[in-house]
Amino acid sequence: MPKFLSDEWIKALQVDINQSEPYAKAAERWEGDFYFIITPEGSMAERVLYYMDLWHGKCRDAYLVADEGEKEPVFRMTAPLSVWEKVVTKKLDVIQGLLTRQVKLKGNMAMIMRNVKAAQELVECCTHIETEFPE
Amino acid sequence: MARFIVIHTPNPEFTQDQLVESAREIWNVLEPGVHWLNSWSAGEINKLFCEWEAPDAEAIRRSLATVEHIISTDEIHSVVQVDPNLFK
Repeated sequence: MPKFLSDEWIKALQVDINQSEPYAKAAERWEGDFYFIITPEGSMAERVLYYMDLWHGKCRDAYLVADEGEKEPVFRMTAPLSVWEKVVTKKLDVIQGLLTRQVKLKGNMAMIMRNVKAAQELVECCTHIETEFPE
Repeated sequence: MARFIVIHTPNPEFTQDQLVESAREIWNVLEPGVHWLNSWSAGEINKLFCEWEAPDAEAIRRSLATVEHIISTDEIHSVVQVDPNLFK
């Protein structure tokens, strides 16, 4: 079972996204890469960054980021571990999370709002991965 | 009190902070008798459909004036509720 915050987890998500027809359809016009930033809570010592390159319904690249400066993604979404756990398990709708600023966004919010279905299908892919969350 | 549907076009370049702060600002400027009841986002067409209760449309326009640069108001329509259960 992949551990959340590991490279194995984001690679598993990339595989799932690239097999998802609903995501491919919902995100067919999407162009934009992300840093998903998980800020520390509990046993986490420091923040963790995932990079995802999402392009026309596919995930072209995804990995655990060692050096934050290596990419300049169009979007950065930041939240504490407990909030991300709620998002990826669908206990918190990602759009509601953005509107309440539980998830902080750097980038064009309107572009996200125009692609709600794609965001929701991406979260749906997250739920397909049996995930072990840190304490 | 009358009900209204208000149609907005959000500024296509807005940031998360601008949107959230604008929405919060509305609560600070509501006139007596004006209530923002609900909102639906149609992101694919960049529109917001909001339900209001107010004495008249102008009272809603005044309440929204301070956020016009982020969420412009296109149309305000007086509406009546139709309960689908009436047709069962």
